Amino acid sequence: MSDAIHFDHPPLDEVVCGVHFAGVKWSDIHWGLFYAEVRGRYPHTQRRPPVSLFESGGSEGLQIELVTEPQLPLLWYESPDSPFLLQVQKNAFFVNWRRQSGTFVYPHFHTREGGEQGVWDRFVSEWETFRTFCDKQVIGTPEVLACHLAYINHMVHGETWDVPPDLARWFRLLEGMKSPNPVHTLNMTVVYQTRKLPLHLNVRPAIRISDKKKLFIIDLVVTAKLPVEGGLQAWFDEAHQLIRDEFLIQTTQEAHKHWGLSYG
Amino acid sequence: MASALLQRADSLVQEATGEEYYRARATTGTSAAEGMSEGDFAADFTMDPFEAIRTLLVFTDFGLVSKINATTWLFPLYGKARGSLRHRIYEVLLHFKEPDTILTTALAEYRKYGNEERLVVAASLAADIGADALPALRVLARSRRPECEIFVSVIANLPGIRMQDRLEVLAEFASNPGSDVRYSLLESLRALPSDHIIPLLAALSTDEDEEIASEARAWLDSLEI
Repeated sequence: MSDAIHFDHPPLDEVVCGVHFAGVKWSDIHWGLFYAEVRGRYPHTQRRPPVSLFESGGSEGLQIELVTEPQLPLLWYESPDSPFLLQVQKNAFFVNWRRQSGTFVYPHFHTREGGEQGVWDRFVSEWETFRTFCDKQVIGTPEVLACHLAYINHMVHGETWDVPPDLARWFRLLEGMKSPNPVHTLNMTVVYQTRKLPLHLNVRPAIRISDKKKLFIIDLVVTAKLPVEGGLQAWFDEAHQLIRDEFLIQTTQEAHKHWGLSYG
Repeated sequence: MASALLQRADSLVQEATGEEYYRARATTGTSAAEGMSEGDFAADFTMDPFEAIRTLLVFTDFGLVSKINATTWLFPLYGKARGSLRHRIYEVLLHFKEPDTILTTALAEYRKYGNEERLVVAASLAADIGADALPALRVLARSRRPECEIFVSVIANLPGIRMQDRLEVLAEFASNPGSDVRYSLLESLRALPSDHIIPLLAALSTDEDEEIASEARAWLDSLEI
């Protein structure tokens, strides 16, 4: 499948492809053993708190968890020379593409002829590395329960907006933000249920770490179970198409022109 | 074989989620921060305090750190700072304008570590904040705590408030168990017009501390003449 659109300079900062899995008996020692497998591509590691992305969204209130063993962390495997980051925890695996302050150009979701390796293709190859590792270590075969695809855009203060309502120039969703009172910030989530997958569009404030500039993160996220009858590729193609189409619908003509949209 | 399958099935059941939807929050590689903890701020402050304060201002301005939290983190650092950094911390605390948090933090720090300077700084900030500090000062006055002594003159001189409000809060000090607080009240009355202070002087003229009582009586006598 080819990506049918291209942006010369999109506001995209990061793309995340990930899966939630079960069936693997992961323990502390496997971080190091897995590092030995990938250190050629990812020489640096960071220990991070585990993410609960794939936890049920059904109970938002107080949750009591009886913990009998120390919680295993999330481990990052990364390289200063690569836009790709691996995130591994006992039940989840992610590949992130990161712009890294403009050091890298988005290679598209699927690899294009003569282009850099696409995010999907990188994910497939790293996931295969991980599965092979699990088999080799005889710790079980990861069974994918759910998948996650996120496109994270940064709208930076002074570059695309001065006051939050200026974002309506770029995002249709934010049109009509009219009030006699000034809008100080934005924090919202819209959920679209289309093509069997839920798409979350989140708008929230943040600060860019590199230069402390204010920005709004506008991300489009699909996280859902992997249907029994479908494969990984079908799920990610569907989610990618959904995000791409919704992004085009939700952004203005002016934005398309500004970001250098072309088709084909 | 069967037990291995059962074990595997158990593992899947335990790890699978029962609901039809998942949290839809991107698992990012953090080129942007959506908040700041006290630990983050403390680490930044150790490396470059002026830059840490600048960052804290950006986060509070964008609503990513509350001014209450920022005040709680910053106030204790005033006492350790010197020169222009001390001045900068004072300025920023004034900018946050959280008198309640300033007083609460100052009193907590004073109880824990002592050093009256903490209270003096809080009193000075309250005075500079002005009328907006009155509710917090009123609560303090009603607390009947001995630390009120430092704040009596702040209330007596607080700009922008009605005389009636000022006198009501000052009246709380007349029944404070600490004689230093009541003496401070007597002293602070000198800043107020004579015709407003008679009820307060009358209250102090029966004070259990004879020094306060006699001074108040003498002052009352002079006013009646």
